[in-house]
Amino acid sequence: MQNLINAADLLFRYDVMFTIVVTSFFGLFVGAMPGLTATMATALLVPFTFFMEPVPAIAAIVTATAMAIFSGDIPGALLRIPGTPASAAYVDEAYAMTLKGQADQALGAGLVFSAIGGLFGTAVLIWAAPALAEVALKFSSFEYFWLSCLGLTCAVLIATDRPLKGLIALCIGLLIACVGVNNPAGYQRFTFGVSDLLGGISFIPVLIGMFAVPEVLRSATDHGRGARIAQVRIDSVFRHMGRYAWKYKLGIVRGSTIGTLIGALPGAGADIAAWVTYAVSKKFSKESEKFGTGHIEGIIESGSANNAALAGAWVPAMVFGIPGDSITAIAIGVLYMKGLNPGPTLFINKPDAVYAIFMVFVLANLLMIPMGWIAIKSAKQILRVPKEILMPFILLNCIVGAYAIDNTVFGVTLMLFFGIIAFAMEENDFPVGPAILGLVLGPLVEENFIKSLIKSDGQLLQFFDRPIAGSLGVVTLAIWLLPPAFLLWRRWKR
Amino acid sequence: MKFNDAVSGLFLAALALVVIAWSRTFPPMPGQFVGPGLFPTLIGCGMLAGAGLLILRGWNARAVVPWVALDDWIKTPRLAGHFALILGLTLAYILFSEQIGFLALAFALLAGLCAIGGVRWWVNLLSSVIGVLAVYYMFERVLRVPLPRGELFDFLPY
Repeated sequence: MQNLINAADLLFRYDVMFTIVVTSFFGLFVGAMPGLTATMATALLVPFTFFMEPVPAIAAIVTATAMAIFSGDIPGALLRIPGTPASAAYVDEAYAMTLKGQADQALGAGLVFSAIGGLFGTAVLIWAAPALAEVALKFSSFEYFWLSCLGLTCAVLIATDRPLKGLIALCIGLLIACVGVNNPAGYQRFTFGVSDLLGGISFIPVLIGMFAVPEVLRSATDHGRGARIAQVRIDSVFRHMGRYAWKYKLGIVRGSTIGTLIGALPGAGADIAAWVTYAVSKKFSKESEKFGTGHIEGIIESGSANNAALAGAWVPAMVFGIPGDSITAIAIGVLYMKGLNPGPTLFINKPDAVYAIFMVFVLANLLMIPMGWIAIKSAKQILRVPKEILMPFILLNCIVGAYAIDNTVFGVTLMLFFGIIAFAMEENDFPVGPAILGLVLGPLVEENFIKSLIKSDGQLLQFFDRPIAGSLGVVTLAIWLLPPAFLLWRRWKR
Repeated sequence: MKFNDAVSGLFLAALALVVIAWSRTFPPMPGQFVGPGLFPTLIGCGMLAGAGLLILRGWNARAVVPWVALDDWIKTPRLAGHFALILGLTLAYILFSEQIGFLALAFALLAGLCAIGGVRWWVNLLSSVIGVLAVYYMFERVLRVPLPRGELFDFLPY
């Protein structure tokens, strides 16, 4: 109880509330702009969080991403362009509803059931994280090693449709993490004699470079005029929502549950949750023939799933320090930067901060309703902001954000370098997400690998000695080896 | 610019080989059988294996996928110019911000990119001035980040 009171003290302060309101508007705006993603919103926020206290810094990220994932539905319904990848699954459905004159219902369902899904995911986070942390306290370097490997494997296999290129992107991220003296031996690696690289490659400029700069560059390569906003009246956003909630209660629970679970899987995030639940909703619906013609059921289920996934992704992030998706990968970086090192001991050493983070999730999802209503009402104005003005402004913020970390232009150089690399990667269908996960998890994997090797005196079988480590190891190796084995077997049979 | 997977694979394989060779030169930790070279070597091997498969895939698809394919935007001078200007102005910021200072360079960046994006001149002027001042106020005044003043503009009172 005392922890809860302390957490409330940390959270309910003017500066934190101000941060939450400002980042709400920021998240809503970024999410509603086609081409700007929730991950990019987080990347752009990180330089500001550098100057904040831990709780407002995390509050800023949680609020902005929750809002951005919802507001991605707005251009989806009005322009048939998803604002963020998480809205892509049901964009045709939402637009079909708009053409039928039901834009207010499509957006209302997106808003209300995003908040419900987000609250469901938060409830799971609040319940599961401390329970898992109890178990994780008994973990040794062996369990952490296998867990990180499993996380990275999921990031490559589940989160991308191109596992081979995902694997290479992951290796690139792991290699970036190797630069500098931050390794178990404290040895200077890959620094090219540059003293700025001794401490390793700064996380924030890489992040800004890889997630924001490619969008700015891509905007230059496409000067097509913006799509036409559907001419519709948006009257009562909340009308019929109670009826829908009752009618599709099973779908809401199913969508939120699947969303939370997919979010909690390392590497898979809100966009995959939305795709999977839309497909599940269609499969189990009594009116599956109506899907694609402007039927609200899929929007309700996958809309709740993508926001539930956001909270779900925080379970492995807080308990094990293993990110559930790109956004939590960034958030883990911020947690480290703020001295709130994720892991089970966080729940013992800083319980007030943990409870404050839980409260932020609840608050952000509740705040989504009024803020989202404002965003829907002003949707047409938001969508009229010209990209030709917005993108240079974003670039300027990237430059200053990368500079602000240690007040040198070296950060800007890193940002530009990794921005070009990420642009080239995406042009050639290499996903960027696994690279960021590799960058964040690299030091953890290496530390636990070397520690375990030294403890076991090089006996690799000892990596499987402890029950949980052994199970995790077997699962990981099975995921690595079974698919190629099946492939070879099928070819051999032919 | 899209490369055939075999081309990307060759480049990545070369990178992996450099990483492996470089990592083998790192000394082991005193009194231990492992050293700082082990982990990057393993990553290099993973990358090399992935690059090998990529080369194979690209080679098999060489009849339908060209070695290098230029996107349409590269052949359109205005779009290629816009792309180059983004890189050029960011590079100019890196090279000259200490001499020229944040305000002048940031204005050049915003105004230049808005101009090539086709924004009307008075909207460009207005949005660039407001944009620069907003970023300046936010970072320099609120977050206390010492943005480069610029030696050329030392005489100014700000």
